[in-house]
Amino acid sequence: MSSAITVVAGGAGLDRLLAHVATPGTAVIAPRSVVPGAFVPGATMVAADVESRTPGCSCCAVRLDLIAAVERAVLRRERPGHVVVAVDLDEPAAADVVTVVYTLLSDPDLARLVRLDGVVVAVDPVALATRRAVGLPVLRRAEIEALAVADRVLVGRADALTPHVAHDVDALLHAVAPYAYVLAPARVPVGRADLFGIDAWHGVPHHHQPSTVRSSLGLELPDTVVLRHQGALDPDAADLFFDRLVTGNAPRILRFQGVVVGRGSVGRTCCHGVRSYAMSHPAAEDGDPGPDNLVVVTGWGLDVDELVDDFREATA
Amino acid sequence: MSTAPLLTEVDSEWRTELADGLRSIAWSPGGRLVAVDAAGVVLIDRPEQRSTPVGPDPIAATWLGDRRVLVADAAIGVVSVGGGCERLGRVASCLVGSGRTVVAGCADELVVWRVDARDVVTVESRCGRVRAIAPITSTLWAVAGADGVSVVDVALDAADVVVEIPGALTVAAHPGVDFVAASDVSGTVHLIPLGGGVAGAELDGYPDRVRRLGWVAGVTAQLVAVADDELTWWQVSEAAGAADQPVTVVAHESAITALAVDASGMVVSGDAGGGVRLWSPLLPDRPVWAAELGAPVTAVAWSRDGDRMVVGCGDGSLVRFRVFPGSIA
Repeated sequence: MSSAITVVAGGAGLDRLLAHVATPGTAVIAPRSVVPGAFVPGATMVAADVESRTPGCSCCAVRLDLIAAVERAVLRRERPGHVVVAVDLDEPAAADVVTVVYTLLSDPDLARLVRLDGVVVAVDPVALATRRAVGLPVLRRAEIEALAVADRVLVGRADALTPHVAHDVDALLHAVAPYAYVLAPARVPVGRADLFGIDAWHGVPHHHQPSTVRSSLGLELPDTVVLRHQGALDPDAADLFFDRLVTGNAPRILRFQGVVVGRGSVGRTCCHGVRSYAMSHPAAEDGDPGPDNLVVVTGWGLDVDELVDDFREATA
Repeated sequence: MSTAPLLTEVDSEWRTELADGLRSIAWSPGGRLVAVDAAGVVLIDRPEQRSTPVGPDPIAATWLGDRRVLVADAAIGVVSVGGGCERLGRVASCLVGSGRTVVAGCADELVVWRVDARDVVTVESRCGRVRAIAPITSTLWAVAGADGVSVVDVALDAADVVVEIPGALTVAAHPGVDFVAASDVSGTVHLIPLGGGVAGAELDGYPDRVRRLGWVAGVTAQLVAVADDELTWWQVSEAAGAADQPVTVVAHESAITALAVDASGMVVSGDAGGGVRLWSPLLPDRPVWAAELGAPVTAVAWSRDGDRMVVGCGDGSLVRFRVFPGSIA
């Protein structure tokens, strides 16, 4: 039985968050930039070692250090029920959450040991508001990409903001994090069950965007495309759609996820992917019924019209 | 006078349980055993001889001579055990011993301990951040790093061979073989000649990276490579290089997680389901012995004389076997 694994990303204060989630039965893998020992006892320390399966290709980059660290964390006498992989967004060499997620999903050795449960990103809204006020970029690219694939955004110090600034930060986060529930512990208590055991990478994807979102807010942001169709799809055409989605957009895709129904098949098929990795399997039928077919794609510079046309061909 | 059996026989000598999953097992030249578990407990020679934890996250243990053990811990660096416990610092990604010499890969350097020297020597890897090392002799070491593969004489601090291989991952070497084998993240195994006048080769077709390699020395050497649940055996000769096609065996029912080759060429492999298989170079297409240990195999090691092998598992099980290689298989 595989252990659930959650990616937790953040900047300053990440060590305190990790100490909070490092309960018995939870293994923590943390970079050396996060203070060990005092705040995260027993954590497995890692130093980012990134390598691409095809030299020079960004869409197949993996974290070799994580593969070894996850094996060490899981292959124990008492196997952890949950593993947390910490990403320090302030450490440039290791702030790439998408590469971490790609590694966890695509590596065959890790696929035997762990199952991705979710991505949690902690943000400091006071820092965001301050950057905006002084004219600095509100979010760095690593932060944008982390939020773009996040399932939960933890907003710390929300009570330190004026209502007007809090509203602006809220709007920013909802625009940047299409798959995430935004949680502010200062306003509403957040429990462990809100962050772990969410199984967010399988089944109908949670999303809160309109049909298409273009870059806005003065920031260059990834595009999110939402594709819906009621009624079964031609299975060969659906396969072709996903093939073209991945092969044509691998370096740009940050995350895609969806459920589809093929003509003649029983039940829906769940699909998800990151960059050049894609996976599908029968969907559990105890989730949100929703539309028959729903695919959400987030990536940089997507040709939205082409994606919509390709999907329409699969529905014909 | 005892004679070798026709078929390989294996007897279990003892089985014990450590506090946590096994991380590393090694034998000294004189036949002493060390095993370290995930809790940092070090077992020396016998089940009842155990240390208190020496570190929170050990990754490898090995002997320096017959009296001192070095343990590489991912959190606190290299620790010396024997006559007390001494932290030597330097966080290592890998640690391997050849008997009289121990080499650790620390960032883009090799840190060298010698049994007959007080001082620790540091030499440049010549291939970037070190990922794996393998001894050829006590002073000549093959190194796989982020930039490629090198063969470094750690006594002279000189490189005999430096080859650029993007994504080099693991390396295997043998004093009786004229090649070093290295795998990369793309799934290619590179044969790098040690002598002049011989061409290297790239062995590809693997669907994913090859994480484990071993050499069986002989008149014609064989390179053993692990891919998921399969073993591939490549015949390699100095004159002809690598054979066009390997012998491929679906060796286990689940992914192979450990591999070791002894001096006589016997190969032991372990898998994610707890299966252990013994392979003879005389009969590469089927195991000569098998056992089921019930937990993922995490470490295997042969004694220097090939008489014994020890297998460790993720549940803390540690089993020592006496092996009698057969004359037929």
